[in-house]
Amino acid sequence: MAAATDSSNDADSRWPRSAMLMWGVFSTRTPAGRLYIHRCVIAVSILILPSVFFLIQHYSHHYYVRPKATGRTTAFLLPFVFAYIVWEFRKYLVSLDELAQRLQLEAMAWTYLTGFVAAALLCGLWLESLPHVDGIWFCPLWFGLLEPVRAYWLYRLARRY
Amino acid sequence: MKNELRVLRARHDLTQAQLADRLGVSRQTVNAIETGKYDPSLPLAFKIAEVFGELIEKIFLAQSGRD
Repeated sequence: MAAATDSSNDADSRWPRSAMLMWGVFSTRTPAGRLYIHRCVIAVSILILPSVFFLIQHYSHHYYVRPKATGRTTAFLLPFVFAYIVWEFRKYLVSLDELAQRLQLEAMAWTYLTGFVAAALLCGLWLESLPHVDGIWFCPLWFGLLEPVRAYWLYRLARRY
Repeated sequence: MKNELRVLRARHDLTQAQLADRLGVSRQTVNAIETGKYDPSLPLAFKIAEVFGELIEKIFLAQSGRD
């Protein structure tokens, strides 16, 4: 009987590990997951395109674009690209069923708490080395490091089911 | 919360994937409910009852005691 065969497959009923750890989604095979990943990849590609173009022309000794212009273009694109990714993630989240939504939200809550502890730790280090402080401690791109943390928490939380 | 989902699914000759399709959830969610690791929301519980044509209290049983 099909149902009996299926129920013996409980161990296979978990979400794929690779999709969670690599992309922070439950599956790259579902239409919503695939769409979200594709759009994120396109958005990030657009963001790094000016830098890639600059590096290519720099190493080919052609100087059509100045470094300052590249930096300004990237800086201009940065908020738009990340706002777009956030918007796409919201759409992905809405498309999930109730358990998957709960896991994603729990993963975000744990990521926030992890980030909070990490920020406190960095702040402590900064206070400790106050005379030698430099701007890297305040770089907003540190927030980008939270994405792998979210992926890790998602994987860890999903293992409960 | 205990449930009779696995028994009902077998009785109706449905796979987890087929039931998940009917409920509009993932197969993993059906599996988590069946194994008692996840208690569904009230709307989903009603949907499950509707699929099997049973009363909700016949499918989901509150566990007595402190667990």
